[in-house]
Amino acid sequence: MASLKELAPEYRQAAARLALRLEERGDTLTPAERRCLREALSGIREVQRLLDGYYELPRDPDYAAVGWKAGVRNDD
Amino acid sequence: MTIDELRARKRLLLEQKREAEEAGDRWEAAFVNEELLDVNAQLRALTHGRRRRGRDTSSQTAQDRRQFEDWQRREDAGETGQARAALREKAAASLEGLTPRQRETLTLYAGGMKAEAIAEQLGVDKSTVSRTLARARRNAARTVTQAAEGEKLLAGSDRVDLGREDALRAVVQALTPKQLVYFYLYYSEGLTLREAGELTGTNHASICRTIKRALLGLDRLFPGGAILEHPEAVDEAAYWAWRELDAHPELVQEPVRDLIQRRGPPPVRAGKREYKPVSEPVTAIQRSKRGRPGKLLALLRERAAYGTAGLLGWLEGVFQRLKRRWKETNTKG
Repeated sequence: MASLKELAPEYRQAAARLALRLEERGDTLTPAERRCLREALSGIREVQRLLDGYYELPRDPDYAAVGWKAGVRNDD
Repeated sequence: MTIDELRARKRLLLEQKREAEEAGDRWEAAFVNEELLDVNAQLRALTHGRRRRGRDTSSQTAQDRRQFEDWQRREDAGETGQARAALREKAAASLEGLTPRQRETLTLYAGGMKAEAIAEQLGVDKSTVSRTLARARRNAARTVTQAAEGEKLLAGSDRVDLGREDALRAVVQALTPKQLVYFYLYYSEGLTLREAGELTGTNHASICRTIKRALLGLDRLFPGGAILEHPEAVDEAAYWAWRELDAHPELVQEPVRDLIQRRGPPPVRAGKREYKPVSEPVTAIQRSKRGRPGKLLALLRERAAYGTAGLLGWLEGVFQRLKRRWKETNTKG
């Protein structure tokens, strides 16, 4: 299985492809479609950055599963 | 990657993007552009500057953290240690410029007391405490910035040439318009106190006091003392402000005296006013030795021939204009 860092270039490729298509066919889209695709693009870039620095950058604990514990159950 | 590495990478990518665009390879250009955006985001995280607010994404949070770590690393390397020691020294010196009340309030606040608690202890209103604190902070900051500016102007020497524009600007900003008027008449034009008094319709003793206050103001700029040379440069600068006001009379400020008349005289203080002993100024100024009057004085004498009423207010307006203009250009630059 690929490590998370290895996934980052694929996301970058996807972002580049989407950006290129948006640039080429931007005129034929409705404003709502264009906005949706822009949001998708920024989302892809965001994921790419997170993956790229996943092993080097400290993460916000809200987004990481480090330190999570299973709840205690006292029903036995 | 460090900042320098990132900058080098950015230059390389820009070059690659340009080449790809010239070759008509749009796919390559788009791919390089994605990496360029990434490098730019990392650079933004590591360098200071204006940051866009509103959108706070998780990768931005990580980048903020990265910036913090970069600063932490520099601090560990001892880069900021010296700067911090110098800052502490200056902060201690900045307390000198405060009034006793301001110092007292600031010390209590620095000790961790809330404004309300301070107000209760000192027996004043909470808003008075807030106002005093704001003034204390402003004064302290001014003392520090002025001293730093003066240090930069002196650059190790003990003489400052007012013919240099940056030196003249600093001096003009350090003095009030009225102080500037008498500074100009006494040092720049070489008039005696009595001559200056006759020209402006003021008592020579009060001119002497104002000049002393001006010198004390300059002491804040040059705490270790300095000798200011070529004060005749004030003439040239003020002459242009005068010409500008002559051409645009709507720029003339409303005279302060009218305001006082409208508001009524200031309340009389109960009891004797305590004058705190004033130390002797350490800044010295070499009076101009040129024989002929400057451009502005020639204009002034022409005007004074019709009477001295309002002349002082007008002159103050000229220096006020000069100060404002320089302040505006400073903030723009």
